[in-house]
Amino acid sequence: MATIAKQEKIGKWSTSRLKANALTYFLLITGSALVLVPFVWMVSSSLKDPGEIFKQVRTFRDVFPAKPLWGNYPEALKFMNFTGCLRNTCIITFFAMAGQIMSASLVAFGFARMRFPGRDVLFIVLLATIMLPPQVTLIPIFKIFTTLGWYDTFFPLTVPAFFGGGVFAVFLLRQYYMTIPIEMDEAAKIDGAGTFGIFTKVILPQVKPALGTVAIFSFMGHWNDFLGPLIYLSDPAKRTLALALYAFQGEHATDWHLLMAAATVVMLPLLTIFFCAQKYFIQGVVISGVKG
Amino acid sequence: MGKKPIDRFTEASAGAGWRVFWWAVYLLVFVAVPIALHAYIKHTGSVAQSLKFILPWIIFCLVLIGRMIVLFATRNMPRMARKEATEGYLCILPWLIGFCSFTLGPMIFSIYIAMCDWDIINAPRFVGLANFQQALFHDFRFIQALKVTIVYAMFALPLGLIGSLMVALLLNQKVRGMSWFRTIFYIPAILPGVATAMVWKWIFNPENGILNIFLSSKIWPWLHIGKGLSVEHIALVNTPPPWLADPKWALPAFILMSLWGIGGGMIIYLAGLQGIPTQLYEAAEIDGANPIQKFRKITLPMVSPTIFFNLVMGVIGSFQVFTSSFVMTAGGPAYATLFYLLYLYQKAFQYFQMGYAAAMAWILFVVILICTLLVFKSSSAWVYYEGELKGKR
Repeated sequence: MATIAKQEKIGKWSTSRLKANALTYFLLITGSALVLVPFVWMVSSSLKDPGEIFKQVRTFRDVFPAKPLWGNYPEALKFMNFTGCLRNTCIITFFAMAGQIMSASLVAFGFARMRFPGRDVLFIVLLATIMLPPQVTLIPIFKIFTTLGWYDTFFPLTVPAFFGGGVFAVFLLRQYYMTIPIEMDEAAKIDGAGTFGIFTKVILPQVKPALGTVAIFSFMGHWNDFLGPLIYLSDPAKRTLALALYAFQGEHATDWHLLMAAATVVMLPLLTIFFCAQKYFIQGVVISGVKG
Repeated sequence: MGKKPIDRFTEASAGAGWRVFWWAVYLLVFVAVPIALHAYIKHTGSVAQSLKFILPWIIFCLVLIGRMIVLFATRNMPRMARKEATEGYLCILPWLIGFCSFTLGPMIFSIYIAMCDWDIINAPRFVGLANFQQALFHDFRFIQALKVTIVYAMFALPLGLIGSLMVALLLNQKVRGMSWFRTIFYIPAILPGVATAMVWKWIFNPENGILNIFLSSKIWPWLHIGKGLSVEHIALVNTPPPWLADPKWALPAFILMSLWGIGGGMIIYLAGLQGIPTQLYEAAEIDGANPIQKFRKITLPMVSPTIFFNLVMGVIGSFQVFTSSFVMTAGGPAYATLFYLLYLYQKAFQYFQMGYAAAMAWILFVVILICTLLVFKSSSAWVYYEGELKGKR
């Protein structure tokens, strides 16, 4: 059904249509090319050999490697201890994501569905914390975690996610919860469900798309996080991918072919997830942007 | 069912036995335990050593205080409402704990250490406003960091806003294959900052980076259409800028790089554009409006709330540049890319001047606050909200 409707609206490829949209296509293709050039350059550099990379580029052909050197990839991965870092990043991301989803969905439920004194004031306080630059609390939190003996552990990177789960996640989920008719809660209540039952059996199943969005943004945030690991992790064996990539750059500043190979590999998981779950990405931005 | 008068404090626990129990707990926790802890701290001689005994007690105290606050706040409520309120507080409890321990508490602590000389190992030494004085009047690096950040924001922010609106307008056209283009434009916004910064560092490489290869025309023969022109004639720039190696060109390089990531703002614009009712355009067409008029009189006012949102987020975001400068230039050359946060990081975690860094964080907060307030104040003049004219629904 949906595809048919789409076809009717936009129509099929045809010469006349192409001509009418020629300018649009020209701009689109030029723009996309500009966006993609860095990726092409990254991948092509990652396949060159060290001599080739500093050879003067004379023709268009020289941008690409004469013979792709796939061996750069294993070499780069070995240098940056890829498997270990991947494991660390996965552990941190998994726990932080789980914490963020659980706490944000519960907190949002409290703000959307329960009535208690001070709720609206507290919600405004929650929203107001966006204004506070994270650097203001950076040093005290660092002190707290070092005092707890959590320096050089994964706790500072995962534990805070369990407490609140971020303003955007709470806000986004609350917006979603508000769209579910309150009659559903009441019906469940009459059937004997408690508050927690309503939350897990009535509300959560209906906001799966929103949870997907929160999960993806949480994944992106923690996978890409750089400052957190930079501050809290010092043992090379505990490095995350982003941190390892940075350290790798410090050790092999001029081995651009290896650096680009490493960068490509670090980008790959995100690109894969992005292409698989594009819908959730766009949806999340749209909701948090338009209704905010 | 008639409402019956509410018996304060005992309602939730229901029964005289529970009442006695809770008073015993209060007595124990707020009187007996502190005395015992005091004796213990005296015995061991240091607070830090007895932390593991103090901490559970503090947590338990907070739980009890929280319970008292909830009981007090809900004292005049009917039974069901009171139950709902208690459960509501339980639901938002994770956030409340997080807010107190990771936002409110650290904020207060941060104000204190901003007025201290503190290297994180030794005890903070109170110095009053000396850190602020030092930063604002005696530290040329601080002024430089502020200048770099503001200049960056002044160029990157408007360019990004206009650029992403243009791209969004383009991507809002109804042509086939559009979802592919949208995806492509959005990709840069999702990638890890370290990886993109490294790629761009290589792109900006003065001799072997693709940007200068492109600019210095050595690649142009493949486009060589005009027969009589030699390679030198079609050079775009004869001596391309050294970008990150030159203090004059390093910041423009960052601005250029920021334009690559306009996809994030673009998606938000796109959502705003798709929310504009098509009837408006149809009516305008009937009245004989040309595309430029339609853009100025319909599109622009209708997306102005989105522009506003992007502007506020952009103001906050442009003060948050850290990873790219940390990875690409580490602040150089000659402090030309010493972004505010980079300097803050250096002060805190390389020189261990925590007090100074905390003072910088508060100055940043004030700057962001002023900028945002200005944007908010100006918004009534240029942001159009549909509800304002329509009145109540």
